[in-house]
Formats: sequence, C-alpha cells, structure tokens
Amino acid sequence: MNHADHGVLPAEPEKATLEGRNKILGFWLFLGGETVLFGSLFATYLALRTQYVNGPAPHEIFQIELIALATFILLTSSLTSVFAIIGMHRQNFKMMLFWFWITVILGFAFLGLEIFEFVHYYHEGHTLSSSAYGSAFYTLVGFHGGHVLFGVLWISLLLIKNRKGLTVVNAPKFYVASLYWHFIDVVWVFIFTVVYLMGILGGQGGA
Amino acid sequence: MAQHNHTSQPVKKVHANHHSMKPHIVSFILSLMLTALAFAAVIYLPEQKGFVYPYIVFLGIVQALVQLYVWMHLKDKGHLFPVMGIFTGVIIVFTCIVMALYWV
Repeated sequence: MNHADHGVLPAEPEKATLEGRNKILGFWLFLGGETVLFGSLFATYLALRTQYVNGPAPHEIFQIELIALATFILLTSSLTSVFAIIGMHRQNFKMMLFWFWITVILGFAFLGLEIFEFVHYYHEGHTLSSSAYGSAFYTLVGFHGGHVLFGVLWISLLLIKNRKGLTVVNAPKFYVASLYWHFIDVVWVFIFTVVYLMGILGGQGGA
Repeated sequence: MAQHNHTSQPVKKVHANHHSMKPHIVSFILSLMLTALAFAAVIYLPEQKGFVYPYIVFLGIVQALVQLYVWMHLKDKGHLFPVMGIFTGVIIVFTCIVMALYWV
C-alpha cells in the first residue's frame, strides 16, 4: 500500500495522495490571491505612471538590453523547472535535482541583475521616495523581486532537505514550488510589458 | 514484488506520451518569439503608440496563457477548480486595471 516504503512510486507521485491533491488545489487558490495582489499593484502603477515630478522619466533610465537579458534568464529558469518536473514524472530523482538547482542558479542571476538595476536607478535619482511614480515602481517590481528571492530560498531549502529520494510526501512540495516559479515568470511577462516596454515607449499609456 | 510489475506498466506509458519534453520546448520557443515580437515592436515602431500598446499587451496575455496551460498543466485533466481559482483572480485584476486607467 505504502509506495514510499517500497521505493516504487505511482505515475504522478504529486497527485497520489489526497493530501497532495489538496495541496495543489490550495496552491492554485493561493495563486488566484497572488494574482489579485499583483493586479492591484499593477493598477496602482498604471494610475501613477506619469507622476514622476522632477525625477528621471521612465524612458530616460530604462535600458532595454538589461530587461531583455533579465526576461530571457527568467523564461529559461521557468523551462528548467518544467524539466525538473519531467524528471520527477520519469522517477529520475537526479534529473529533478539537477534541473531544480539550475533553476535556483538562474533565479539568483535574475536577482543579481535586478539589484544592479536598482542601484543604477538610485544613482540616477529614481528612488522609492523620489516621486509617486518611484514608489509605485519599486513596490511593484520590488514585490516581484521579493517573490523571486522567496522562490529561490524555498526551492533551495526543499532540495537541501530532500536529498534521499522522491516520495509521495515530498513530490507535491516540489510540484507546488515549480507552480510558484512559473507564476513568478507569468507575472514578469506583464512587468516587462507594462512597466518596461510601455515605459520606454514613453509617457501616456493606455488608450 | 508483485506490486513492482503492477506499477511499472503505467509509468512507462506516462513517459512516452504525457510527459515528453516536446510541448514544453515548443512553448519555450513560442514564449521567446512572443517576447521578441514585443521588444521588436517597441524598438522599431516607437511612433505608432496607438498600435504598439494594445499589441504588446495582447502578446503578453497570449504568452501568459501558453505558460499557464502548458507549463502549469492547466490543460491537463482535473484542473477545473484551479482554472476557476486563477480566473476569479484575473477578473478582479481586470476590474482594478480598468478602474485605475479610466477612473483615477
């Protein structure tokens, strides 16, 4: 009965137990709530997008190459976490660990770029308190960065604590962490579109 | 050990069809292309804002849907409640954004 004890896992170990299935459902509801959190931050940002007072305007400071690189890194990390889950479904524990570690490394690379970017903006006079636009920008992009930081720490901790092998107990944990990671990438799609690309295009967004 | 044989059968089937890498690589390339199209529109058509704004938002929505359905498995069976959960969030977000754009 107990698959974990025999070293044989069912085909989709993350959904093998009721607890696992409930975790995944609960996590999706949480992601619905996260969507609302980010949505309200996006709405705030859009309402304040022209309120940069004397500070630098978005199109004066954003560097499209840096944003393209960050986007590419995060998109690739989303793909590597898919590979990790494929490894899990193939019952290939080493493959899962390998791709999750790659995901973590790419996550740290993204964070490094973001810190570099924020430091650069700070020296240009674009700060959290420089204008309403600055506050909205750092709250939205910073919240996303905070999620990335939480994600890399969470996945690292899972990897460190579950080195012995895959079970029906830890499989849902890894699966849910990969859902979270994909969600972060989905939010970034809208950040690079609404904040950066529209910011570079200049000023009056919307209709 | 009888259990061994019993469970190894469906596992094999799963690798062959359901969990192949192909759809994931395809959605990665698709996401890259959608991203590139959005960046290209901003770089090459900076004057046509009336077109570029809705166009890049549309590309973003398409990319988000691709990732939700393929990478986050919403297309798989038994995902009705997750779909309802996430789209309830999206409806609230849509309302917030429209309010922020047109009423604030």
